[in-house]
Amino acid sequence: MLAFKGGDERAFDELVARNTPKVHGLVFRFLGNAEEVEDLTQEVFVRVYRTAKRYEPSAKFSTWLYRVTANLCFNVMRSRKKVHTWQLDYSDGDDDHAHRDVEDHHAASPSDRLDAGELGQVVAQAVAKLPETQRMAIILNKYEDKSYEEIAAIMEISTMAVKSLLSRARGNLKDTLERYLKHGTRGAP
Amino acid sequence: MDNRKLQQSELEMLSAFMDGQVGDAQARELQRRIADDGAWAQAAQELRELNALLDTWQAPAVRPGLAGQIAHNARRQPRRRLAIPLWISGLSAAAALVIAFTVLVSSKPADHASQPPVVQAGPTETPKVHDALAGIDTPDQFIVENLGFFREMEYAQAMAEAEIDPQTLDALDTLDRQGRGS
Repeated sequence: MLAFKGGDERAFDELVARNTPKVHGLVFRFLGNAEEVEDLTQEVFVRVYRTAKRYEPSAKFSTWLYRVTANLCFNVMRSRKKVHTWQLDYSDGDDDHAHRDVEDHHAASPSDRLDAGELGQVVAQAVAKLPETQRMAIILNKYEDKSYEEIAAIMEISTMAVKSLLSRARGNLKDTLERYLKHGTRGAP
Repeated sequence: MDNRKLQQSELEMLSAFMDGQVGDAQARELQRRIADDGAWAQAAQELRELNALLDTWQAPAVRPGLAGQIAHNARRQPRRRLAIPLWISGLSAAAALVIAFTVLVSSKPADHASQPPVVQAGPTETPKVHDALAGIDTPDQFIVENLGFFREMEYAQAMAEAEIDPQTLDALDTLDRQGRGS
């Protein structure tokens, strides 16, 4: 990043190549929508490109990059909520819509014969149900191998708050995935 | 089997221990509890199972060529500006002018006193005139509302054209104030 800030344009190519999988993975897991992942991954690097001149290495570059990504994810969720609220208002009394919601709920019912890929989908749905901060914390910890200190720096909260978020996230996941913990994982590789 | 459930603070400690985020001394203490206490052992086992289940969720591989495409597009992306329409900018400028005029007029009470009766404060100061202004088009309304100011300007211009020297103006001013005071 410092090389790019110093004017080395090729350093930006390398930076993007090296960090795209991290950003892509975090965005994918947090938003759970494959259609948006590439666009948002690009948006993160557009921001990096634009703010390079103002970048100060007060923390590790990866921490800063994850922070940019996390903030973008939170912003997307906020705008989704606005759209969702509008849609609910607009479709009030739409019986067909309500019926589809019930069907979706039943479609997520557990099965004892799930393979690892299907179990992954169940996990994805359970993670998606977590409150945003718990979701971000568990993704950074479990899938991005970040320490509590790093998560605290990325989310701009205390390490005690990270500890609490992770514990509550695991409690919620345990409740949601209880049946899979008792049956599903036995057959999983 | 111990049916006791761990407290939230204990669960936090256990969760941090499983993540390798506690110091050596605390790790030894927690290992001892897991070995000796059924409730701790069960909670630790549940967390291990949960971790194994979470491992089944794999992120898709990044599409080949995506990084190059992103780097290319990031360079081409134009800087976005705040989307303020031109008419809002114009309106803001007009509003600023109106405020400036109003402040200028209202901050000169002594000047009113220095004027002859013909340039006394504009008609906006009486409720009747204010009501009458309601039906007038906005641009005209602005002029009428600030009539006092415009009259003042004309008076100052007239004085300048008549080449009345400042001392005479002061004398007129004094006379005017004495006249109104009586």
